[in-house]
Amino acid sequence: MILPFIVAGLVLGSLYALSGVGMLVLYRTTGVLNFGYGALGAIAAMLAWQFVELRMQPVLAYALGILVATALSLLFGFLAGPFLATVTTLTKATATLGLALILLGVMLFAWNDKARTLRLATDTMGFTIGTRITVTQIICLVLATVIVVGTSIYLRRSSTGTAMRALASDRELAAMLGIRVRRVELIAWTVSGTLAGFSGILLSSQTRLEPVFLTFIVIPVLAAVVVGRFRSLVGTLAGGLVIGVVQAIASAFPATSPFSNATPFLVATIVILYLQRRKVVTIEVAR
Amino acid sequence: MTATTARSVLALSVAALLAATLAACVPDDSGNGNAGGSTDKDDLQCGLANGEAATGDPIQIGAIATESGGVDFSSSPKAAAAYFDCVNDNGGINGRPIDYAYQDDQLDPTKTAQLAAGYAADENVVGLVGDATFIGCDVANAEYAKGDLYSITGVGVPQACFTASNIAPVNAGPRQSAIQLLQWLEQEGKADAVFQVGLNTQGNGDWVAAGIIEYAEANGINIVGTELTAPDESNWLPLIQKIKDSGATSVIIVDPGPITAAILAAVEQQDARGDITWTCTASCYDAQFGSQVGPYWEGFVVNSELQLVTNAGDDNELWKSVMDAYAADDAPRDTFSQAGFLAAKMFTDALLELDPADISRETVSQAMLGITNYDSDLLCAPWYYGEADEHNANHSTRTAVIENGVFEKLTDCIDSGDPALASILDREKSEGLVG
Repeated sequence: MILPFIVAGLVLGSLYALSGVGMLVLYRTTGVLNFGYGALGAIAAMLAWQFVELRMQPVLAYALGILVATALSLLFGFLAGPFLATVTTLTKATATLGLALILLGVMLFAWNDKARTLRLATDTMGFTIGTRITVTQIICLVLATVIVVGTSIYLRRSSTGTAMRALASDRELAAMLGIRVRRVELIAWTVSGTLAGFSGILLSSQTRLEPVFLTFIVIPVLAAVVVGRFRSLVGTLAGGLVIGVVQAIASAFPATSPFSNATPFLVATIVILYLQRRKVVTIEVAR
Repeated sequence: MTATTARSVLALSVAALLAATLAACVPDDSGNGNAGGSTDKDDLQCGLANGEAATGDPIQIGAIATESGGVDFSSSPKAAAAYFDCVNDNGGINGRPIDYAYQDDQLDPTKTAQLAAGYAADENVVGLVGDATFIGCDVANAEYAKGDLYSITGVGVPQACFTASNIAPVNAGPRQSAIQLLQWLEQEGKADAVFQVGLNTQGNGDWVAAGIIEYAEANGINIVGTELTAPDESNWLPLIQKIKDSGATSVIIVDPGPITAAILAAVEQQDARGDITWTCTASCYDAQFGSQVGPYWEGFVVNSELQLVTNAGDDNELWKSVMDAYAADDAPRDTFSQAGFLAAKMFTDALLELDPADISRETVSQAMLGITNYDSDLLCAPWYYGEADEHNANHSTRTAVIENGVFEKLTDCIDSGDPALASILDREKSEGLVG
């Protein structure tokens, strides 16, 4: 009875996590919390849909959509990066709201409000163990896990990864040590854009293919990043999965289902309070 | 750094080029639900149909439609504009051209109120035609009532559009659309256990859901479930599970097309269509819908508030040909477009009865209110305006079914059994508004 909800929750959660990793890589490297992340994913999905409608091979259409999201992310990083580097984190984040609104405006201008679906070939392939599981859902779960593990290893082992971590610690110092700061930052924008594109296409297949909806999905994603304390990739993965599963299980029962959409905020708030607990104790001891 | 940038740009352009050249095309096997008209521009029978351009003093007509903000209802005023252009090329209103323009309320009721107040205050604007505001009927009506300004609205959705003194929609509205689906299910013997799905929106979703329940109670139909979801819902599994658990034999979906498409995609992914008869209100009747939901949904039933776009009929043919001749190629050819066209046609016919020298807001309002018994093959029953605090002249609609990815006619007109229409039906009889 509850199994289908757990599966659906894991899938949606893994997509939150996948998106979260893209936001986190960018944040850790450049200090930019990209609110335009959902819009980048939305544009990838909308373009992929458009290319499929234009009779392009679906796989190429998805690739092109992801490519455009990557290019837009890189372009924004290239143009705005130097300015963003000099301002506070709050100003950086606010600047990306501009990116989100511009992309959203362009999408609402380009596409009307009619029904659209991005049906991946893997949506209808699947099997039943207690509940129906599609290949797309497995791709979501596997991709999220692989990306999290892969990115963790990359950040730890490769020189670029080390450079990214160095930038996260101290930008000025990293520059003085001879790290090509701009280059590393642009790589982060690129990786982040690609992940946005991937998750946008998968999200549109698992939820809704609508520009506004996909743009604002950045909010639950942000909650997953909060759970990862803006640092931990594994924490973000766990956060995404927990949010997804709790949300889905909450929606299964009439008593809790009207509040299920509040899950991301609830989980994020609980985590923030939990992480603050030591400070409270310290203050009391100090008294 | 420059080298990296150059390399990235190069890589991206090469990839784009590769994709473009390698993009082997998938053959186009989808049908096209939009049949064009077959009448030449010079032969169109608009207004006086005398082929002479109107050159007199222009008559100002306005409209408010929601065009931006995520919802686009502008196909109604666009069709009205096309018809008025055709009228102006054919003698206008006894020699006087119509100067028609619509404004976008951007899905913001404050903006609707501003625009409505602007029209009400501008005495040069004698009437409103083909309006289609998604959110502002109540605030707009308050302004119109103050200024004695009347609107033949193309499309109304929330309850407020049907309970207004100065607004009379051409379409039937979601409540009639939903109830008539239930009536169809009843006729077909499929209404044993009905599950309804809609939006949890005040003055709209709740109004429609109540309509289904009222009709069901009056006619002994068992509604096994009512699920009103938030407009930003994305997880459809609970809904699908509830439908399964309820033992429903049929489902009525009253969501906007995009949300319905997402629900149907989730049902397909779960392969949960089963033996249930799935239906949707007129919000799903759109040429693109069938191809978007895919072959899994062959046999999906929807309601249409006006004549099917593809069907024959003098007015339907005139609408298509006027759109071909006077509207942009990308202007949608949908129900809303038909509604805007019909609003403009009824308005024109009413004004042609007036003395062209005596066209003022007062005379035009009287002419609009005086429209009764207006026949059109786009409608099921005659349309009328009449002085009243509620207007729902169109309460008889058709059903269509997806066949090979496009909508085909399923049934002819079904007249609404909505208990709440009683007062309207009484007035139709007592005031002789129809027949």
